[in-house]
Amino acid sequence: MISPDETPCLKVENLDISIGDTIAVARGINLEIRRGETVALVGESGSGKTVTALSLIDLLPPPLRVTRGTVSICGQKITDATPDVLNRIRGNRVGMIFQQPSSMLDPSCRVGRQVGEALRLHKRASRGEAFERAIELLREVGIPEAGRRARSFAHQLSGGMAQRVMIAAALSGDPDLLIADEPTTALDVTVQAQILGLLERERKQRTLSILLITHDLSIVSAMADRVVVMYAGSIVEEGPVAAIMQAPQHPYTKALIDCSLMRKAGGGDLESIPGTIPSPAQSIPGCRFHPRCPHALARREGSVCASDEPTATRTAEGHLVHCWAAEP
Amino acid sequence: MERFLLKRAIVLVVTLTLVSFLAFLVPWLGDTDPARAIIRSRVADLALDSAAVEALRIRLGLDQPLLHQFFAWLGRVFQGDLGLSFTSRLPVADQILRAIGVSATLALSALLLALAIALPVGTLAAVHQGRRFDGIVTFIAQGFVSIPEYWLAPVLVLLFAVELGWLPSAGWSGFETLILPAAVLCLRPLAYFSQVMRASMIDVLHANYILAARSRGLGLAGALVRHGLRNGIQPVLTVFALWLAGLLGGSVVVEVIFAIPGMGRLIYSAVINNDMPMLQGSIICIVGLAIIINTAADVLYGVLNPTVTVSGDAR
Amino acid sequence: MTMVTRTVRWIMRQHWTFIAGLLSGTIVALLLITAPVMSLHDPVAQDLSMRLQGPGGDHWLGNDQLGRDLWARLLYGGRFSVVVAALTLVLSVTIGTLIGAWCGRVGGAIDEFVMRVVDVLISFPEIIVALFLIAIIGPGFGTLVLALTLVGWTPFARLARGIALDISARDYIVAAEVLGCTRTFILLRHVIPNALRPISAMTFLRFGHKLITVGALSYLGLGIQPPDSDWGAMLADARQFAVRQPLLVFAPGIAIMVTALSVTLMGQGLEIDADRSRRLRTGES
Repeated sequence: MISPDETPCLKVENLDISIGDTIAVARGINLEIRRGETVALVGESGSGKTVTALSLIDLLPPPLRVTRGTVSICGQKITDATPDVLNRIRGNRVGMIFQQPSSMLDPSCRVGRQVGEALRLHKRASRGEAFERAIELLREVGIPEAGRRARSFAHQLSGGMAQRVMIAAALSGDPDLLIADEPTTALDVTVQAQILGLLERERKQRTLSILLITHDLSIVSAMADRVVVMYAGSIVEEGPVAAIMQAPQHPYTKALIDCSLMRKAGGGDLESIPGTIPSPAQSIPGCRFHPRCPHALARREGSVCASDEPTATRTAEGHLVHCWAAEP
Repeated sequence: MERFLLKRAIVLVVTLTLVSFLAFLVPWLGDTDPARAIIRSRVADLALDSAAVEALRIRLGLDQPLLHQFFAWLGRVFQGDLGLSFTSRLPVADQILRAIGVSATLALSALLLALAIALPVGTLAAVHQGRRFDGIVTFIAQGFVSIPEYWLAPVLVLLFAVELGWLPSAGWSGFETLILPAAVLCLRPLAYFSQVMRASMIDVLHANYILAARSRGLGLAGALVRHGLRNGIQPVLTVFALWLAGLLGGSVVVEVIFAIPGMGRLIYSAVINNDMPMLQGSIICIVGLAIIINTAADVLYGVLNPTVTVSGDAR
Repeated sequence: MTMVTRTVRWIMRQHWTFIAGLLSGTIVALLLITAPVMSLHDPVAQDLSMRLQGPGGDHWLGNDQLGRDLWARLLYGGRFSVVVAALTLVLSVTIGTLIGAWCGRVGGAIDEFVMRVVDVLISFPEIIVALFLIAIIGPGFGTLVLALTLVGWTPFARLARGIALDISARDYIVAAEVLGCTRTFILLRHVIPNALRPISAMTFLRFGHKLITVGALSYLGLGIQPPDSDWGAMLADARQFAVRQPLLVFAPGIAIMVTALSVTLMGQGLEIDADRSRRLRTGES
């Protein structure tokens, strides 16, 4: 379906993100998204997902910063790019939507103007053109009475409505990549399904690539082509969605799936992972997961898990596991 | 909106009635006999003819019960009749009206000048929060607050009027006479505005909608201009209204030093000359104006901030 | 001894502005208190042969238009304004905090009424209130203190009310109430410690304005009355001699500025400290 030599929409290599110089929040992140592909970035809260997402468009709030590695979007290097270049990429090649849609809208600016903003910036649209196009986009994302809604303010919208507006705003510059950071977490379950349906439809229509950041595995199996699992700032496993969901290799992924209600709908006790996710300031030698790992190897005295960081093992085509216990 | 204005109108009337009552009592509190004072203000002769005093007392209705007098007086006040000045013998209302125009011109010039400087400076300080520029701005602001205008004004007069001869040293006759007093008067509000603007822009900088705007391709400056200022300026406007209300009578020292015929100087000379009608009239006007200005500020606030319905409570 | 070392340690932890303000403020206060020792001359002794002399000899800052020693007048002149400003503030803080905390606690119509009064008074210039009171009861120490307190309590009432409302809504106060702690205990244990820092910060930040207002009234001839004199009155007297002896204008002006600025700096330091400890408590970043 996709030729392998095509320039990937997003390519992240060996990315390290730190607070100041010392505390590593994410380390050694490698990520690749091809055109039209949906990749889910999964992990508990505190695993560094949002920080990774913000680093992709170079909007990390200080003192967070990228200390190593590169990010490229559509072949254009983001790391070390000038502010002008970055401004031309943001909203134009890559759009982003966030967790709390209502607070993401300027409370004293009409919704339509914010939706049309990327058009004004990147497509040289006049104020009137941008507003007209914004109304069309609002209609496209399923907002009833789009013309009237375009003139309303953020506080007059429900959460689901606000997220639709944010999607319209993110798509108005016709980007190649959409970064969706927990797009449905703050919404009601019924609205969640609608928003996900909308994202899926837009992806097909626009051959959009989507980086879907979530902690909700039920979303992942419905939406994603590939899954990347993060734990405490590192990627622990990545692979095609079917492989990950059916045959997870990393103990953390297994535990995560076991925790998910989906698997246990039939009854029985819910599994839970013992312990809590370490804070970035905590230094853990070896595999970051080993203190919580149920695997026999990690439990053994003087095990390699406690001394060396695991390297990637390829267990199947496109399926990588960062675990000493994994077998190729 | 209508209900809000109606409520404020009621507050205005009630407060003005209360203030009028206090103002009405002023001569009694200060054991000044109004009849005596009036006669003394008209005839220089200090030996008062007690028969004349009695005659005037009856003519002015001062022999009536206090409450009766008050309502008669209140009726005249609400018709805009504040009596005659003891010193100039002209209607108090006319003089106050003219003085308020002068004070408003002076206050607005000073405050707009302060606002024009404070908005960019406060924003820049917020952007550079915790760094050297921020520290310097805060320190200068505190310096400005600590300068007495009755020291700065003479020094500036000495420099620009006496030594350099660029500007007139006092008076009220056009733009040139406005520069020095407005400059002196603007320092303190400038300090306050810039600090309020700084604090409010720090909040705005961390707001999610700025991040979202930047993710659409706006630079930091662009995002601040398009989405930051409008939200960040709102607390400053509240402070602006407070200052405007305060300066309409409060710029006494500057008006006296620069011989500007505004409210401050009017009140000052009324105090010096014990001009009771003038004092009563000014206090009523100042309080009334303060309430009107604050109401106007609340309405403007509602226009700028759509989440506030103008009854003052956010959604 | 431990008390002293603890205080010193607390001071050293503060922002540099606080330390700078504390140092210069202490120096000014000491100079004013020890005025009789620090000045060799009587501030009211005239010596017309020394009129408008520049600094030199044992007249460290020279002499004024009546040949009085400027340094002595500066030291004695600061006492009046500083005492009026400080006394006013003590009264304002006490009255304002009590009224505000009470309003925040009882709420309802009383709260509404008092806050409307605060709304009207808070934008009312202190100098105008002072002028009106002077017109009614004549100038003097008592008039000034009364006038400045009459409007001075309002910002403290607003602040204390806000803190009282904020604190009583906090989860740990609700928890304390559920646990059966008495109101007095909650007030002493939680409300007052929380309110102390922001209120003391505001007190220090208001001082400069009070000092300048007192000086303004003296400058206008309505504050301190002759033969006593303060910095404002000295500035008024010196105005016509400004060209011949600029020091007469600069010295009192700088005295006011340094005094106002040092207390303001202390206030700002306290505000930073209050902000920091609030963030620590509420867990904001």
